[in-house]
Amino acid sequence: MADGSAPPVDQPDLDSRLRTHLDQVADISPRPGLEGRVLTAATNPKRPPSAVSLRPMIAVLVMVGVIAILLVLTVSGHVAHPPPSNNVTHQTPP
Amino acid sequence: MDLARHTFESAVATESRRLFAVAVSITRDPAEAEDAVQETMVKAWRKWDTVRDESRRSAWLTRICVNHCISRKRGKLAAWLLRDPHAPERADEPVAVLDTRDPDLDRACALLTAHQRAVVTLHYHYGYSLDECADLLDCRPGTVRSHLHRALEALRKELSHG
Repeated sequence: MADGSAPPVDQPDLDSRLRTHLDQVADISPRPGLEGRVLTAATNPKRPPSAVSLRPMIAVLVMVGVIAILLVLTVSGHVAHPPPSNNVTHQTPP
Repeated sequence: MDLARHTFESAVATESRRLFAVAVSITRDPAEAEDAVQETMVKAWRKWDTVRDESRRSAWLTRICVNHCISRKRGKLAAWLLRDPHAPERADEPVAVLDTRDPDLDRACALLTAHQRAVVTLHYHYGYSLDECADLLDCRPGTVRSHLHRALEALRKELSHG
């Protein structure tokens, strides 16, 4: 085209290109022995219980979260500080 | 050997390659696609006896595989948390562009969402109707139509820009 831009893609053209492209993608082969690996994984599950590695991580995440929240609150002044001594007003009882 | 085990082995032999093709179209990563096939069959074996009608098993496996591929991004954090700390690290195989004869279209496909790629693959390559796609993806036909419309629009726009 004169302005250098590509011509618009028509629907039939896009459809046929898509089908051809998807055919080629479907031809990509897995590594040899996929069936054997799949069968072994499915019928001989040897994975350790997931909670073994999950629990310590959750504990660490919770602790980090709590510390972060406390830090943010402290910096932003939401945590109560004792008032400076020179501003303390004492009320004398009548 | 019991019947369930026999039929399962037969399904692994006949379906793994097909499921891999579905998975690689959606994930665009052969290593992830192999993982998806494996997870699909692990899940399927746990409930193998619940689907007695053999003619429905193929669609059932496709549904598990497609939904696994779509949800794998959401599950990456969980997978990281749940991973076996003693397992060897898998070598990453980044596959930005698949080896096809239409790199422009491939790059455009890479920009689609996993949902959009799933609909495009199931509809254009496997010939499922939009209602069947909705059934496989556990969503409404209108949602599938919307995914397909947006996918085609995005592809057309990307290809027009060259």
